[in-house]
Amino acid sequence: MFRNIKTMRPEAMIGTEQYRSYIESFESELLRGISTLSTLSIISKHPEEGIYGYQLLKELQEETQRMLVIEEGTLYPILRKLERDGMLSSEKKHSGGRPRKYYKLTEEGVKLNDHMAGFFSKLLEAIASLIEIEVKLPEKHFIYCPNCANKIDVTDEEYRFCNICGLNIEGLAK
Amino acid sequence: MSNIHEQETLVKEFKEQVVKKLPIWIKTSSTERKDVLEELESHIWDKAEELAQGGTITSLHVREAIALMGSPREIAKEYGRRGTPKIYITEELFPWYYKSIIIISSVIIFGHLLTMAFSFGGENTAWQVVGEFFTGATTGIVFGFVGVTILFVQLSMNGFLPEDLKKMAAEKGTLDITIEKPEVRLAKVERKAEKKAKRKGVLESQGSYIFMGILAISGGFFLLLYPIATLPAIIDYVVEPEAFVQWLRLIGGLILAQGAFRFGQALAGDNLRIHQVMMVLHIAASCLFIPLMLQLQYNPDIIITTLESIFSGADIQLYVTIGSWIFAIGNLFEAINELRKIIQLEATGFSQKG
Repeated sequence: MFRNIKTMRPEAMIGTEQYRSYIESFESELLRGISTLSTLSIISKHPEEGIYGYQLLKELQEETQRMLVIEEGTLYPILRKLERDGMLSSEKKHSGGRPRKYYKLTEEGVKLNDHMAGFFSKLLEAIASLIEIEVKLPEKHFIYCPNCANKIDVTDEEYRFCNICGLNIEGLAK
Repeated sequence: MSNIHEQETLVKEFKEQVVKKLPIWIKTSSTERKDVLEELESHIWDKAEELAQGGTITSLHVREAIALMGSPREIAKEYGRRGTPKIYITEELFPWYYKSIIIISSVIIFGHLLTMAFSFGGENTAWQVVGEFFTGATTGIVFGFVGVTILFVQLSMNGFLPEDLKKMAAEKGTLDITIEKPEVRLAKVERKAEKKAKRKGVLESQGSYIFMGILAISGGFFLLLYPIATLPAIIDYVVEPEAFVQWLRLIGGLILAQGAFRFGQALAGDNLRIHQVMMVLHIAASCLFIPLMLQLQYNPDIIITTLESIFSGADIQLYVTIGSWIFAIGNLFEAINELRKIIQLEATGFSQKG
């Protein structure tokens, strides 16, 4: 967001170096985790064909109305790290006249995405009153594990235990 | 410069800048490096196409697409962001760090125990010998600890993980860089394969250089700090201990320098120019061994007088002359071989400017 600021008055607080450095560091720390979560979420929408880096960035910009800015070149190290950690699988295909690497979530990646999404949702809900926003979690469709905050689809009847922490979740759905 | 050629040059220059700053575990793996660069390049062309809005891509579009990628330093830094931080050394490397400290400490203690065993019976009292053991061992362990810690902090900063060592061993000697466009690469594939095969026999793997470096540095330090000639069991026989100790120390210094140059090669990664510089310095050290070896026959104080006093009647001068010439010629051949490698590296060319 900070990088999107194009104009400012010279006397504005944001013009001071100390303030800028404070906000820049806050923003980059916050974005680091959110970038991973958003990347996983976009990839999860392409379970069959997978998605390549450039397409992923485009979708990310569209979905977040260009609020979430990832420096384009730094997306690939994130993807590579997730792939090395076994969260993503990849396949090279030629499309549009050039080689592209298509990424998909692995079984572990799907779990990680649900867990991260659940944790972040509960965190937002918890701090909502502090920053005076309203957060309404879709609790008709999902339950959030009370033990580890994992996001669990209530329509999936197979789940009796949280697949992250193993807590018995029968009867928790509203 | 034609437009398309200029665009390709811009992309190539960007990739070269990224490669230079990539962590060592990607640099040394040709597959990883190729994969990383291919993905970045594909993105740049996609972005340039988008910026051209259906029109012809111009160099301006390519420049903008590259600018949007972010700085090569930042991109490369992100690739190095691996491992779980834990007091400057990543958690993944900690078991290796502990093991290295234990191994090095054990070697130092063992070396000092041996020295102590030979020291008993000399002029020093038992307490003095034990005291020297503790002082020497502690100093050695402190130096070893500092050296190993610096090495592991450096590896952690590069996002190096234990599995990378195994990968490096699997890709032993494959230090080629591929940063041309795919079409160009296809046209050059035969020539590149030939160059790769040639270079494979020239450079050792990074692991080998680290091993050679550590071995030579330890040996060099041993001769420099604890010359064997000062041991009471040996000093009794040495007629001119000062000359012998001085000669051994010079040899130790040269071995230490050679180890440092090998270590330099281990850190050089794909920068073949640094490899060449280190090899030239190694040659210089090898050449210095020659006069030192020949000095043995011209300066009897070093070893000839001592050996003659022990083996009276034997033609020591002849044996030392033969021995020192064998060593000198051996070093000359080593220097020539190293020079051949430098020339071979130059001849096989640099796909990345060093």
